[in-house]
Amino acid sequence: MKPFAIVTRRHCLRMFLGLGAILLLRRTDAFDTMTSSTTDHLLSAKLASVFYDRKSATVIGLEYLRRTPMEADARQLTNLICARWQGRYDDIAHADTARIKERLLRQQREDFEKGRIVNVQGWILSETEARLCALAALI
Amino acid sequence: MLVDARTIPENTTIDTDVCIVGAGAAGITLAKEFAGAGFRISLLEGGGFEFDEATQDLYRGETVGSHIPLNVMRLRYFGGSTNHWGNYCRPLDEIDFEARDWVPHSGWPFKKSELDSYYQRAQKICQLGPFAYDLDFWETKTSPCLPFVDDRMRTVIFQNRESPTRFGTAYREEILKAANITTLLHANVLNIETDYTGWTVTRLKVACVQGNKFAVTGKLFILATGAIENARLLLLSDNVIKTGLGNQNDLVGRFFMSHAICSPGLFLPSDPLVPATLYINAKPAVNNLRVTGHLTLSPKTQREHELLGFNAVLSPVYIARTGLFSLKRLINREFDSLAKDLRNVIRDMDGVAKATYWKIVKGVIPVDAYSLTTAIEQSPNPESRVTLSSERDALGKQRSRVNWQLRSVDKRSLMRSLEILGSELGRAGLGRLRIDLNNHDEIWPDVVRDAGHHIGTTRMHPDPKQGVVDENCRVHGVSNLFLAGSSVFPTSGHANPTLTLIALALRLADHVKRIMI
Repeated sequence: MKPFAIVTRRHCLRMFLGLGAILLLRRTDAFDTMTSSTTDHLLSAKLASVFYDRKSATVIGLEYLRRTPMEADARQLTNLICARWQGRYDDIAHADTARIKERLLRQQREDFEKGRIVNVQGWILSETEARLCALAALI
Repeated sequence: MLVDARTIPENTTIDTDVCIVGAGAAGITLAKEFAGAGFRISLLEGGGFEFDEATQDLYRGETVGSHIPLNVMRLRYFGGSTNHWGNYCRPLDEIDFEARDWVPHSGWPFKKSELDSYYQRAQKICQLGPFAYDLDFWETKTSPCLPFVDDRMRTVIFQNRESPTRFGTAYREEILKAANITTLLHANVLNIETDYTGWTVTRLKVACVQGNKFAVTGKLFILATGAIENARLLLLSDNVIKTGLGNQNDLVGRFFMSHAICSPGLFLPSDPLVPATLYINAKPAVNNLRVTGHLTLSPKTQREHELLGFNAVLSPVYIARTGLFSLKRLINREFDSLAKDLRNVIRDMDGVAKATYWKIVKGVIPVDAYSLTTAIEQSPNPESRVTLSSERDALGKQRSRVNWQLRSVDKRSLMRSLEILGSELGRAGLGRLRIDLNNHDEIWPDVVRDAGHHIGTTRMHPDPKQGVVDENCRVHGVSNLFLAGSSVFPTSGHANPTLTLIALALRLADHVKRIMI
């Protein structure tokens, strides 16, 4: 037996074709994953950016997470905040901050109306605003 | 006519037609109403025209629970507790008269409308402004109210005089000049004696601290000595019914209520220039009249959430400032570091521009926060009660023992009311509320105090198994004994009791006139 297998052209072609297919498949997966995490990240960042004073929001957010450590995940918080937005994440992620803020304000008011409130060191806050602060603390 | 009872010879019997015991707000109101009527009145007052320690000591008693000493909140001289009251007035609300199925033992024998005309007259006796307690009347005349989104919360009006009406000085001359009224000072009722059936009061045994004793006989008797003393006198009067007069069903002294006052939280406004002056209790009066808005739940909200009555007023809080804005340098412990950060957050959420935040409008000082002071209605509790102490006073009679008991239902109601207030403030974009009370049902913080509004110890109910007096304030089982004052209230509401007790006294006066004439 010879020390190196003789790799015929046909064999190489098959290998390259196979490798190419694998590479192609992996690239497609990577592309899809990159798109959804990009949207998530964009949305999370947009949500957290509604605060002029990010530092103060972080303080409140950390207090909120102290009592709800199970929500200490940016993606989960984003999902919770946007749960009532009927999955239109892409649209919202690409909307301008003013529009997002308007949507959030309506939701915050509705939180108070419907009793979706949380107690952060005695302060009665809306779920939405507490989670926004928590998101600001994590990103 | 005026008589110093200390000059009455020992064992004298004084005869009259109607004897009123106690010259406080209720007793003086009754006497005023009877002036010029066609029957004789004796008005008995345990003290003189001025405070004296020996007489005041008769009010000392035993307390259990968080309660201000009994000889501090009550005054035993002509004018009674009006000699130190704040003159705060508001009628009870309609819901306070209702039998609410979430409040056991609630319900008056009549609706609020029964007292409407009497409230108007009571208003004049308290020397207040127009009989107007709706926000609509006052809003254009004072500062605006907080703009809540809808009617879950509401603003109600209280009135008070900057120089409170002291009934003892305001009405002394009128009473002393009335030809049919004899005022006896330093006359302390020891007990009430009845015939052997207990059906008719025959006489009062009376004594002076200085030692002489005498009796007063009459056709009709009215106790107007306040909720604690009314109950005490009935319990001491045991010559026929051993448990006390009117106490055949063990109700005398029970259901003692007072408004619980506390400072349960902090309101952080989104806009420090938000107009909240209406709700500030200590603001300057105009023409001696102060009109204050109190935040409270609407009856609809009370019913929906099954809550007791509640109201809140605000006091401005300023944090230390530096530089150009050092208008007040009070460092307030209430304004914790979280509040400072939250202020920035809600400014963003509620859309208050930074420029607006730091703008000082001429004559308007931005307020960083408002401390809340709340008064809550206490649920009627039969275990909260006045009984007789084993200690005796200088006249040899058992003192009062007050066991004021708040319950978890009172605490829960306050907590839920505060949560609703916090939600409504947030919903309207007005700011955020911090609740400083813990969530434990049974634990009331030390900062809860008794407002000194003594209520409910001889409650009104047509059924003698549920009340001490009937709907006309006559003691069940006794033909000629009536009670006046807040001891007859079945429920307390959240408003100060004086205007209502005066209205009831006026109603009783009309009833007595019908009997006597």
